[in-house]
Amino acid sequence: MITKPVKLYNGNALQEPVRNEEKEIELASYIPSPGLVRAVELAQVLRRPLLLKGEPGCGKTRLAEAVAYELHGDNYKDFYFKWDVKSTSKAQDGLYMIDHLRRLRDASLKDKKIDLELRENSPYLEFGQMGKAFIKTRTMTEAMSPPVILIDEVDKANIDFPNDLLQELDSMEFTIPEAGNIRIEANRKIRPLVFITSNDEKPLPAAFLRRCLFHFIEFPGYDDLFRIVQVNFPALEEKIIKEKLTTFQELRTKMEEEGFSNKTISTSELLDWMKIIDYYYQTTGEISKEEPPYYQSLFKDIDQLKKLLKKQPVENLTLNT
Amino acid sequence: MRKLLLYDLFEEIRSDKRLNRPGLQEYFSLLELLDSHYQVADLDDLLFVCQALWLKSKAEEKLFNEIFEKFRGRLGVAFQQEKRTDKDATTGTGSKGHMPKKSGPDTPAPPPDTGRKIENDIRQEKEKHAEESQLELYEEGNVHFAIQGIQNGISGKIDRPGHKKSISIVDSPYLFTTDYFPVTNRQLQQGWRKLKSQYTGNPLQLPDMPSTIRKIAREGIFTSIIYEKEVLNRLSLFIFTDQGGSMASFDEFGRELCRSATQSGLHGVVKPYSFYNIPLFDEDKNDHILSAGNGSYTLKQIFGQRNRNNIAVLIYSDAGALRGNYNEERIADTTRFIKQLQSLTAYVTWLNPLPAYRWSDTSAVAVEVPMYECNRNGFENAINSLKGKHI
Repeated sequence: MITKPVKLYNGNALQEPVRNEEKEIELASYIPSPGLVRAVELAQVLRRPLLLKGEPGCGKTRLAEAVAYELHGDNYKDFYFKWDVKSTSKAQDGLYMIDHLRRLRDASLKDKKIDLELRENSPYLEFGQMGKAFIKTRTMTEAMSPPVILIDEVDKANIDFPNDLLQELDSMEFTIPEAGNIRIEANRKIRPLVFITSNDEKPLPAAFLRRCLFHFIEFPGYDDLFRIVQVNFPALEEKIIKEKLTTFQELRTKMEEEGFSNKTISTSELLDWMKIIDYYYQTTGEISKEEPPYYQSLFKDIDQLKKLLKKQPVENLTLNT
Repeated sequence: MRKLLLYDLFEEIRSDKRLNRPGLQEYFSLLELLDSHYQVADLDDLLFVCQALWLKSKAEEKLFNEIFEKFRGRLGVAFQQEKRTDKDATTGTGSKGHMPKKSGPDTPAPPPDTGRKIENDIRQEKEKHAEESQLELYEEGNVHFAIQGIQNGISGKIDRPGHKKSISIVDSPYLFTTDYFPVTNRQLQQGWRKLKSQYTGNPLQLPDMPSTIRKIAREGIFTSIIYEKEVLNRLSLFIFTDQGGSMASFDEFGRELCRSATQSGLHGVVKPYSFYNIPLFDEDKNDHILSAGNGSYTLKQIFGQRNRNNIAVLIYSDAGALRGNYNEERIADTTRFIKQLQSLTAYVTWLNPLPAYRWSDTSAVAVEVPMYECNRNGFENAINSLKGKHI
């Protein structure tokens, strides 16, 4: 039975950057494509995890935060749980961690006042991000939007990692055997919204893929890029933006042709580059005459440098700082 | 209507082995979604929803879309009809989606009079489909042939009579034993497992609780912590199979190698790359080209950004030993291929389906890397050599 989500994500909350000093919120703008908004909607309606893939720098990781901000407003940090997966990560890390050493040391202290028993609120038991999210749902009501969990770069860990999470993703509960098999479960009516990102470095197991919805974040088109740059750098003139965007797109096409498929420049490189251009433009009023200017922020590889700058006449390459 | 048509679409997607195969649960999710308040405005929307639910990788997208396009015509007609009937059923609130606005919040099923109309539609669709497919069968049943230069326009292609799909001998219902291959599946699995267990050693910073507690129990006091050993399988395994003419009878075992390697779950999905006799050498790119699935890749693309020390390559080929010819050109090509492989990878091993006494005086002498026969002994030696410890 599919129930209507309390509030559907529509991508409009972060059209402009947000700064809130007292709540310590500083969010850059995030403008998702319509396809991405639809995918998030689907994930909300179907209450399944959403698996995101795309080039590095296309905004996979930031989506979860943007969704959390839109659904929960200024208090979003209480409802947003980010789990950065490392190559040494085990599935259990996201659920709970028990400080055995401390408990062992306390046991040998022979102090009767210390409670060694492992309970849910014991100081030796610390919950991981997913565990915290489940516990959060217990204090929420159905009228609220669900909390947002982000499992970032799931393919960095080894191949057993996604398989170990299957049960938790399905039923949103887990048990802690060390603590007498207590069960930590999320409020059944409020399933947390799970976002999973992958860089496609390793293939993910089929059983895991089956449970997720899938969306591939494409590189934005010219108009979307223009809007993104404009929103982030409102002081920059349109003419300059257009000029530099065209250069950017040409470079990107050239990179793809030359076969630098996993090192092409993406949205985040564009924004960094625009930042430098904006900075120099605002402070000195002009942009370097190199073509492309400040190319150091765009090219990450000596191969790229050689091939893409090859055709420059020598006098255009300056050695200035 | 839509349930049966969507099921056809679902079946079609499942039957294509190149795609990720969605389970029934995914199909039911789609139906649930359509039955709910979620509005699917048109076919592109439906495609999007199907992609989100059933597609699991960008690479498969094109194929997925092609299959969807085949159904687009039929789905389109059915969609229009559904929209019209639903509009009649509602009290004219003019919704652009096809979900009628119901009085209670929880009534699930669509109104009953559409049911009969839907059945009629189904019958019509099925009849049309049967007609078309009959025609196809007719064409395939006969053998056409093309005669060059004939003016009256008879042309066609030479079709094999009937449309037989070849099944692998291992799946054949006539094979009663599992011991068809020189190395059984179990032995293969053991081999792959050995290949994994090599990389233990670096102690991590994570305490190994059971061992520590055992140590405390032994010694009586808590002295130090035992740290976990890192068990990481960093090895990337690649299997290059020869699909040349001489390897036709050994092809099955090549596939079994890849299948068992994937099954062991230790090396990710081991995609078998194939070549014909010897990989093509591309002069411009200074690289060899192998093919996999429907694409061809250069060696550099295949190995990508992996650390050279973690790449192991197993080549399964007879290296020209079957035909028994001593071919200078082939020897030169083989040597060049091996040289490039050695520069790009850590361990290269060659598995030759022919017995060792057949290798001498043929092109197979060009193989400078350890080459082993395809029996259990040879396979285990090959695994050892892939770990760097060859005899």
